[in-house]
Amino acid sequence: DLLDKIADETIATDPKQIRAFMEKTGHPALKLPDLGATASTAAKAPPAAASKPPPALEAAAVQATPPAAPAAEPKPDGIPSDWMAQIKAKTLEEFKRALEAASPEDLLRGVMEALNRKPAGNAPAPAPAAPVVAAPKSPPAAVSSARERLAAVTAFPVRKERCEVPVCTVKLGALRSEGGTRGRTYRIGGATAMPFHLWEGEMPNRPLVALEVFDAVSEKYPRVLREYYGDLLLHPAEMAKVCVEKHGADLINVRLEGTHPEKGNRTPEQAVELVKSVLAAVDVPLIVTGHNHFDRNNDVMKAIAAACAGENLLLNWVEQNNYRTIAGAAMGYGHCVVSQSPIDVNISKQMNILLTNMDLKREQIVIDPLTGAMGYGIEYTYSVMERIRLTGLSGDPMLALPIIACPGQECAKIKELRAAEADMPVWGDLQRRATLWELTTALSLLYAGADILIMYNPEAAAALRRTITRLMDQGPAQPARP
Amino acid sequence: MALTGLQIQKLLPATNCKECGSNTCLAFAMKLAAKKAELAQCPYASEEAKRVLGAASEPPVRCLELGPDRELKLGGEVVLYRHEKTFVHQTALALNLNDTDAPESIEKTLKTVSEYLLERVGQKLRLDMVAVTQKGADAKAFAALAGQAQSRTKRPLVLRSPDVGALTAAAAAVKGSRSVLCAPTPEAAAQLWRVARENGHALALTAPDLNRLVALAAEIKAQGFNNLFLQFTPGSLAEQFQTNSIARRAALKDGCKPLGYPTLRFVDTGNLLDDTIEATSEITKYGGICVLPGFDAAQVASLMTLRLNLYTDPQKPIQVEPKVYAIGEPKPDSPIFVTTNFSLTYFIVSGEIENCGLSSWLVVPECEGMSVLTAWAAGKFSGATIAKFIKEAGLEQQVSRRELVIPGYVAQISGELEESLPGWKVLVGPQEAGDLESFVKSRLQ
Repeated sequence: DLLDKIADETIATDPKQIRAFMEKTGHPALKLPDLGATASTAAKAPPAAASKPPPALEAAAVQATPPAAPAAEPKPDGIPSDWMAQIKAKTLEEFKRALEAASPEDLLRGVMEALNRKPAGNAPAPAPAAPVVAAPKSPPAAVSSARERLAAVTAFPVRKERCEVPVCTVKLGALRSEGGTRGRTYRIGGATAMPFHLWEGEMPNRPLVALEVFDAVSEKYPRVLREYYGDLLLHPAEMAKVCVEKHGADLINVRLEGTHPEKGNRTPEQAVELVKSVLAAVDVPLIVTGHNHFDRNNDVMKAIAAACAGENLLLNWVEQNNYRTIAGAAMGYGHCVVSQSPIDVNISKQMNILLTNMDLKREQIVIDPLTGAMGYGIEYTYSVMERIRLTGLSGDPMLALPIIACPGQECAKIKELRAAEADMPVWGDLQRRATLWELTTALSLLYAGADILIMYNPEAAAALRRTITRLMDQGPAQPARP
Repeated sequence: MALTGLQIQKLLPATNCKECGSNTCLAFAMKLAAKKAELAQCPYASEEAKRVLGAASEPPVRCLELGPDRELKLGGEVVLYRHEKTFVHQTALALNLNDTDAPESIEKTLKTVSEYLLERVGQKLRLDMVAVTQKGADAKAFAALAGQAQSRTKRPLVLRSPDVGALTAAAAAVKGSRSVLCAPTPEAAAQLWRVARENGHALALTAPDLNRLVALAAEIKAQGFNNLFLQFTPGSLAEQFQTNSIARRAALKDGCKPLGYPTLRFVDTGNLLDDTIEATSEITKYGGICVLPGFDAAQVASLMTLRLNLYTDPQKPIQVEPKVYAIGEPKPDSPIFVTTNFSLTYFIVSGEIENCGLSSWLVVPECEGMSVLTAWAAGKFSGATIAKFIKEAGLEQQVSRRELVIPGYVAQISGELEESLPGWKVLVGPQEAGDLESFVKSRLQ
């Protein structure tokens, strides 16, 4: 019941209120000896874990192995020895489990990445002399024609710009052996250059295409999209299955707008039941999307995070005014979060700093810069995404994170998905227009750096999926879909 | 390497004769350094100045002006990413005609190019060019079709044919239209650049690979003809994407002159979606001219909208006209909302009002294209300015309702607004346009 004991700014803002809250919930910290007593001893010993060292310095957070308890850490006498034994045993067991699950290649890539990565979070130390060891290239499936032809260019020097910091790699989903129930998991991020600049860098993980299912379909959901799904829309688990098997979705996004008090008022328990049904219906990793009614959204996300512990869901979203509870749940139950910012590079960076200061790992954060549809402000998102990716690659770990974009939802709001051709002949056939509008919106976001694109239109999603494979130029392909 | 004003000034006669339009040679030198003037404006420039400045002052990507009155400008780009400054000349969209097409389909295409008009954000968007491709054997018919296409549409053409003779005839037929001749091979290019120069056209070069294309471009420029397009021949979408990026970066950052030209691409994958994907790649990745195989309104509308968005100057906030907008079919007693004339704000708010399915009036005063909070902070969106605009727009005569909804972020101006608008009641709406729907449900219905 730790989660119910978290007090964020909505509960208390000054020490007296916090004290009252702690007594009301019987917070365990009250039973701990007063830190003042140990302060004198702590002063002599090197600063214990209590003072927050920058996250990456805490332990060589080798991505494939869980952060082992820092052995050198002096055992703060505050923790009773049986607790310490339990923690050690659990960590060891978890370490062994993760070791078996991680393939040798993952282990090697993790070590390489750690070697490449400069200590994050503190002043950029002078470039370490450590040789930049290129990540081990898995043999490309087929010799790529683009790479081969462009490598033969000698008429002018083809400039190759090396990144300072590669985009962080985030793992989505968890296999049975990793505490989840997924048949397949994916990694996103890891790029060492701007999107598809494969002549000068690598994209170890291709961008992914997600389709969306709903707990409640809003009446404003465009008719032209209903024609694709019919009453599947009312059976999200079944719809998810069709999206994966027929439309080739890599991920499924479960939108829980129905839990919004004014849009269905569904309970957290109903939300958990729905997410579990979708988990049972498909073998791909899930994204779970809430809404902007913070209190209810936090309850729903906490319930889902707890009920699906270990599934490594992508909890969508946290933002500046509401992040502690969901980020806490992600840390507590092993999930990732979408860090949302209103089309603003600085707020995005600040958001990621706030999250990593809570000890959420960079490997658990995906940036959502928010997008408008084409014709409704996409150019603002397009430029913000390019700036985020360029700044990240040039040395800012707080922005060198994978990006998620939601062209489907944005295009579903606009008139172009509704107006009949008779009313707007210059816009042409409604069905084709709906597909092309979402596809073009998604494609431009793909070129600006999106690593996950949540689509609505299955035709557009399939075309986008095909395009990604072609743009990757037969690079290190993901395991081919059956 | 770009020379500074001072370095350039040393090469000028330093007589301050003002014939170049600047008061002093230093001022003229500064303009030259900022590429805002041409050396040719100085009649007394020494040979050495011409030689040194000629190479340095040339823009990294040449700007070509097509069409009878030079109105279609292509190339002249200066940045790789739009946020670094701005993209300047948008990708031109063309429809292709084959001389073997049926007459009705030719007529339909010519009519479409002449008449298709898409209006967005108050801008009128039209198709820019017509491509004429020879697939038949009759050179004269090809040239005649070119003449017909140009006279019917008044647009510059892209002329494509494997036969140099046919191209020469067509070039003469449309002399002065400042069109583009597509040289089918490097060898043909060696002859066709003279034809292009005589008839006032540009020449698109192609070659089996980048090495030979760069060599060809350098060679033809050396012979004194510089109105060139580059037609790459990528073997895949990945190669198209990468080649466009490599070429533009080489021109902008490494001063690679032979790649400093706009590009030309014929899109023809045989599938509407894949054509759109390639065309989108051209629009986002530095394409100059993009020729579509046929016309589909949905495709053209989406490509033109993306192009309009990406080629908007990020520094100048795009604004909508300040006026009272009718959303849906509002009546005198329909609700009245207020927002600023920053186009992103306007579109989001009007979109959300439309989403509520509620016909209403949207009052948009002049706020110099700033968002709600910025305009308020700059004093351009206050009780006084809104009241003044409402009086000038004569809203009180147009509507019977005396209730006004203002954005939640500027709740603080409600008092001042009510004082400046006697008889009006001011409601404070939601801070986010996304919450307009629940606001309307709870407070207005």
